[in-house]
Amino acid sequence: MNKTNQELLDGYFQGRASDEEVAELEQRMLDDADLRQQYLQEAMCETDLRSLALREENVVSMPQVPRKKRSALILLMGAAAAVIAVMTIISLNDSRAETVGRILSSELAGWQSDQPTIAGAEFGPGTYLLQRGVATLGFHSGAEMVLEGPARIEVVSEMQVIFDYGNASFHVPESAVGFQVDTRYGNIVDHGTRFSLSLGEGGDEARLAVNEGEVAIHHSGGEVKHLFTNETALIDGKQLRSSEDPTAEGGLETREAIVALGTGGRETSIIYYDQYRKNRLSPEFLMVKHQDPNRAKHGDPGQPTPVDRRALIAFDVSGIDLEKIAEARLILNAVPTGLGMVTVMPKVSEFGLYGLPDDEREQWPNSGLRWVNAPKLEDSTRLATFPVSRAEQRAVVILDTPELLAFLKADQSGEVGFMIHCVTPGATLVHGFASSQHREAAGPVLELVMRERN
Amino acid sequence: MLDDQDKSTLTEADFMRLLLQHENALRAFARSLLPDWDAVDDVIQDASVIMWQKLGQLEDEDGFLPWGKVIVRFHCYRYLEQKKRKGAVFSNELVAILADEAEQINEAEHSNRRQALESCLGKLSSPERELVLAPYLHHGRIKELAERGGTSANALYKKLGRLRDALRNCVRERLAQS
Repeated sequence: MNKTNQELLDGYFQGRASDEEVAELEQRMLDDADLRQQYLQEAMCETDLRSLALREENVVSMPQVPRKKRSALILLMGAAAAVIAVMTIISLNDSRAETVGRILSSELAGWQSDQPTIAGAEFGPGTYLLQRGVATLGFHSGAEMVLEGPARIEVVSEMQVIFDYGNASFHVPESAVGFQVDTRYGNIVDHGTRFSLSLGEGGDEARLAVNEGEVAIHHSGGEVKHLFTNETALIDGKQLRSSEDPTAEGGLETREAIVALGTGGRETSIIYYDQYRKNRLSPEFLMVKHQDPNRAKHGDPGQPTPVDRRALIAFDVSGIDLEKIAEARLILNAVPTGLGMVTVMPKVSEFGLYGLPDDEREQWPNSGLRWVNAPKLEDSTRLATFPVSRAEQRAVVILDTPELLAFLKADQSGEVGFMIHCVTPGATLVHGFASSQHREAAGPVLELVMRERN
Repeated sequence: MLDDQDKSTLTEADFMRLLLQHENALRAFARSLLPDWDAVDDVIQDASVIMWQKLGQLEDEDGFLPWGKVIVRFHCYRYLEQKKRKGAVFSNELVAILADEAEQINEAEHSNRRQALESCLGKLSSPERELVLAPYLHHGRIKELAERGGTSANALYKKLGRLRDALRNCVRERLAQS
């Protein structure tokens, strides 16, 4: 091998080195202390460059909104889908002597920043970008804020937040009366309450709902309005309209609420060769695999291979008025299972979400289910397809097809069941989606937007 | 009871500050032992949680980086044990040598190198800087840059190689002067 040390190092750090080249680099490093130092210096340089790149990307990707023109689309927020919470601190002082609160919850799976937050850690004033998921911030004043991404906020103090965009609900106890949320169209001053708001990134109006208590809205145009329990308001650049306002127009006539359903443990994975059931499935994962029979040890063309897997999930919708569902989203968190090799897989694998028949075939047990007794793919209806890249096994998958909505609305049994199947034949990798028992990422969530006329 | 006696007086805020301050050094340490960034991210994530839980072991702030490296090292070993079954990585022997040597690098060296690198990056034009940072962002970024600039990805990779060499030399010179 004629490659220089630097070429071998470049190949290694850029992920292009073959097994032979890695072995060659290892041998040379074992023999050469100077090369090891060069390698360690390269690792430091790589780390710094990556850190700068990620930081610049985050800063560049953020909307450059002048302070006086902050966006504020405040929507009524229901239960937030508990997908992976990824909080990225965009700018924080290195010296964090002043803290204004503590991050009460922020699931760590899927960190993307070089400056991660940790649930339990204290935070100070600064700009925060929640890329997706849900995080709960507890301010020292006693105010609590549940934030759903994507969202961007600036924490000013333990009593003040500038809300750029995102969804949030606030609980402000007596100790924090006067807690202030600034938006593009005005400021909300809390007088002891629970309220929700959602700000669309680039939307042109804001919606606010008081769940309990009282808030005062100081519109940027000078108007001040107090809202009380169960009252809502729309705010835009020109005006402030509450639901009690006789001049209220179209937007308030339609009420939206979001219901987020978990599986409640109605989830399982099945594997074709029953003897593997105990050792090759884990309750933490919804495992899916479709191995190419030609590449399997005991493959039989036209048949599943012994290690093929499918996942089943179901949601209890017996308490839902199906006619009122306006939109439906099924949210899955793709997570690596650690089983099998990534590099031998197709670059992208296509998955299908299938609706199980609405009869006795959806009465599968949550554990011990054998492939032969499980609902059949051919009896099910394909509702959506989605890709997962082998290079990005951690991903949030959101499915919201018309077929899914129609399937839900047609349910008669009070439970809707789904199968997840990998359409693309692959090699050894076992694909995974977080089950409700996954230690980091949240399990499947069925999010329903309910609409009813006042 | 020993744990109680050893309990440090560092607060959660101290921990967060120290983690932010030393995170790059810990990441560089992990990158020295691990084959890719996904592995580094996983290990740093797990190790951070353990550091957080074991903060009471730390007697003072000065000990944070060496203490953190010990925890990261352990998590790297654990990761590599799992990984060995799947593909080629360095041998235990080399990893142990690298870990020993990387543990000797102190915060000052990390900091000097980073400052030198930032200074050298500052000499690049904006497109050159974008190109140098592109490989650390999503896949296909170089191709995007090539399409935007009306050139080929291959040409950009060659240019990137030259820029990296120039950066390396610049950093070396700056460190020699300091």
